[in-house]
Amino acid sequence: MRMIRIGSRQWGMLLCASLVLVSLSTRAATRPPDPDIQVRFDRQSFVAGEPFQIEISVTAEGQGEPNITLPNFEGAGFQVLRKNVTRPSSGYSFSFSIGTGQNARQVIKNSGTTQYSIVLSASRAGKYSIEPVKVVLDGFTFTGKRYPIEVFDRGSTSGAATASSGVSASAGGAAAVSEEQLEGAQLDPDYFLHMIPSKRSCTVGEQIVLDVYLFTSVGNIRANQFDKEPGTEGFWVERFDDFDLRNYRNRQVVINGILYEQVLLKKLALFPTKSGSLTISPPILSFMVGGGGFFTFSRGKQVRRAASAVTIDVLPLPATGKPSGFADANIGQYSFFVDAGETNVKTGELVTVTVSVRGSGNIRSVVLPEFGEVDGFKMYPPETDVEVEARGGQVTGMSQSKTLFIPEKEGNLTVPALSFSFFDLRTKSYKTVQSKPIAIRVAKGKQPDAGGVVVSTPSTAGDHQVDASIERMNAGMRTIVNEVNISKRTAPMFSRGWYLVLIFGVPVLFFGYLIVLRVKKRAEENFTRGRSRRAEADAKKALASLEKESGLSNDRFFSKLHKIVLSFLEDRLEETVVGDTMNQLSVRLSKRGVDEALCKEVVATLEEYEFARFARTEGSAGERSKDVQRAAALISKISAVALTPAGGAQ
Amino acid sequence: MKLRILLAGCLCAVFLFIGTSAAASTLESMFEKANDSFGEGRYAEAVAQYQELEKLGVESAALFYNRATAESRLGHLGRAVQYYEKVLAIQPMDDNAVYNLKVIRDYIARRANQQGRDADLAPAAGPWRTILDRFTTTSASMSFLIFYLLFFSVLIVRRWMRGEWIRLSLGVGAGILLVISVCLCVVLLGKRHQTYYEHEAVVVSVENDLRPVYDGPNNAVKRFELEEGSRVQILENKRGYAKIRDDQGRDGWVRRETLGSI
Repeated sequence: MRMIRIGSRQWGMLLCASLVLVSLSTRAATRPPDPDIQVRFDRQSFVAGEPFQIEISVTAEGQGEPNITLPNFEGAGFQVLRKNVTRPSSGYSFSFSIGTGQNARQVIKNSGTTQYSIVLSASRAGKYSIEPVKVVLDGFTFTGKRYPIEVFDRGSTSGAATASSGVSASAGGAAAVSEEQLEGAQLDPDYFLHMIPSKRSCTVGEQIVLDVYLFTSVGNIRANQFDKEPGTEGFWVERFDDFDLRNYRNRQVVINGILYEQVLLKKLALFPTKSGSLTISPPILSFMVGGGGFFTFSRGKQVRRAASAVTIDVLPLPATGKPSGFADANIGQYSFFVDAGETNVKTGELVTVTVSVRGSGNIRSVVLPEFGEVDGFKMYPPETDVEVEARGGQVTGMSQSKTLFIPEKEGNLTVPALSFSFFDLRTKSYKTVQSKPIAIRVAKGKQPDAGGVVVSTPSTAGDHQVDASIERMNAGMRTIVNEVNISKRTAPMFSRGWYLVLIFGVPVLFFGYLIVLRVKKRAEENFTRGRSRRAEADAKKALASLEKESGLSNDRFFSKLHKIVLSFLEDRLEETVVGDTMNQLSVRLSKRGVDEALCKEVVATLEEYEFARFARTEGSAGERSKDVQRAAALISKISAVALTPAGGAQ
Repeated sequence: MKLRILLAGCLCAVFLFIGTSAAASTLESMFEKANDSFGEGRYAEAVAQYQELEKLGVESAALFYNRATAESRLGHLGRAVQYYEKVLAIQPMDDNAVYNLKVIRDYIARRANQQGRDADLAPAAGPWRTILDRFTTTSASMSFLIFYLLFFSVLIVRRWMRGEWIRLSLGVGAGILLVISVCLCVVLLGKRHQTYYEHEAVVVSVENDLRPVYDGPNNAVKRFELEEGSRVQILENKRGYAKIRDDQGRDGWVRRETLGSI
């Protein structure tokens, strides 16, 4: 057997080869699994100038963290508008054991998904290529796919999906907001409120859809509320039934190079009720920005934004072709029906005639035609009902009126035809629709009474089908009263003439009576007070009159003189002195402040007059004149005295 | 000549009396016929006949009560509530109306609760309102007038009295009568305000048991909803719509024809 001698050189080569083999096998044994690289586009067609979103997610599992290299978007000709990255929290490391017992070995691995959300925009149409994503993990490099996309010009009819396979594009996305729609907008780099009507010029009664948007370039808008709603004076407003904020997908738009999210806040249907230039006054919105995170304690800040007013030019309805008696609210597209429930009835039985208008437009304001007096029928005022449905950007519905007809005579009667005119917005012309007359065959029933009140056989025609629960309720109620104490309406008692006369007249009379009494008393007091002042004048006047009298006997003359002086004293003292003796009179005068000498003079004079009455010889005219003058002088003296008040008060 | 004028006047009075009596007799016979219709189960007809009497100017608690009961038979609960309220406006202490109104309100409240809504149709009345509701305009007017005239009568009698004690007693009596008169005057003014300025109504027409109340007379943006039979105050009328306020103080607009005035 021949021995093979291996030299050192061969040993070195063998060793190297072994090492290489070992390293290769080891390397193969430690290669991590291929990371999952997903790239999604939010659309399938791309238009120059319109932003679109790419979501890249990399799920990798290895011993180290992956090093992800994104494509060079700028280099590829795109403009990067926004980039968000979400990394796995805490690296999601986990460990597990290999082997058992003393040979057990703990292995630590890293696994997680990194997500990128990038908003790009291509300024020009053309073919672009998005480079593959590269991931370096545990020393191994993994490469994703390349995505060629074709960008078209705005308005181009080509809009087919041009992304290569592997791209899952989600539906949605929309055209950018046009300049016309942004007319009047108060642009703000962060957020602004704006109203966009579906049209800025329309005809009276034509529907306009008004959208109120919040444009925001800052995320985390929350808790918004309208401090002031859009002012819609001059418009009839309907709110859409199917409008639901949560179901509406926000759009992303670029305005002046800034990417905004276009959030729809309110959607209304407006119907102008008059022609001219109508203004929708701006709403004001409050909302919170920032804060609100679960682990943050920041409340954010409150922001208020107002939109600009929007003006709508409303054209009037054309005058030519307008039917006579046209109701201006009847604008839209409508169909018109008239039908009767029963057409074979007996006299006194109810026939319900229903007039219906159905279609699209401001159905709530539609004016239904009414029946006038119809020969052979007694009618009751119609009951109207309106059903409105506001869905899918269109307001539709039905307006209906039901009139009760009661035939009063037998035979073939006719409910006349009705016509309904409306302005058709589609053809921009007036239309008049005519119903057909309805023939009612009336057989003989119970005669109506002389009062014209209908008496009919029991019939459910026109009666409601009453719910069983209502019937049970009615069974527990008290029934009608049969007293016949009824009377016609009268004015309230407090408004009747006699009542008002009593209310105002009695106090007027009462207080008038009091006033009269008071005035009378005051007059008497004044008269009494004036009496003293007038005493002297009255007395002298009486004296002058007495002096002129001639042919009086002594008795008569001196009686009168005596009386004049006493009356004067009464007036002057304001006391009754008739019946006083001379002593009493003297005391009275003294008490009132008349000095003693004068008191005596008064008493002496009065006594003299008493005696003179019975004198045998009649006095001459001269003597009597002197007596009168003496009386006058006495009166003057007493008048000059400042009397003390009655009762002795000083 | 004077005799002829007197005779003519007497004849006119007689004819007027006869005419009035005849008219009343016709109204009463119409009322009886309407009641007969009710008795025979022809409720819609009875309602129509009661309506005829109303159009002729009849205003009577009995008429309103019977109409309310007939409307209730037809399931028109809103109208029934309206007419029972009209009865109570004329006769606040009408037991039958109070009872039936409570039955209907309880039913509506139960119905609302079953449909997941809270409903309390009994209007929240403060003490002032409670006092006002106890009086009709006629009773308030008469009460005030009586005490008012008594007050002045006592004052006049006192004026002619001389005795000190009797004057004192009459003075105290006049004071009491004055206080009562002032109170009744306030009540009367309240009733007057109610008659001329407070226009109250009841929701009589509903869609699915509820009446939507809108933001304005020119839009259909719903603000809140009212149960059938809810009592509201009418604040303003505009273009076939009425601005109302309910007993919770909420304002809004409804079509005028959906309300029945009390």
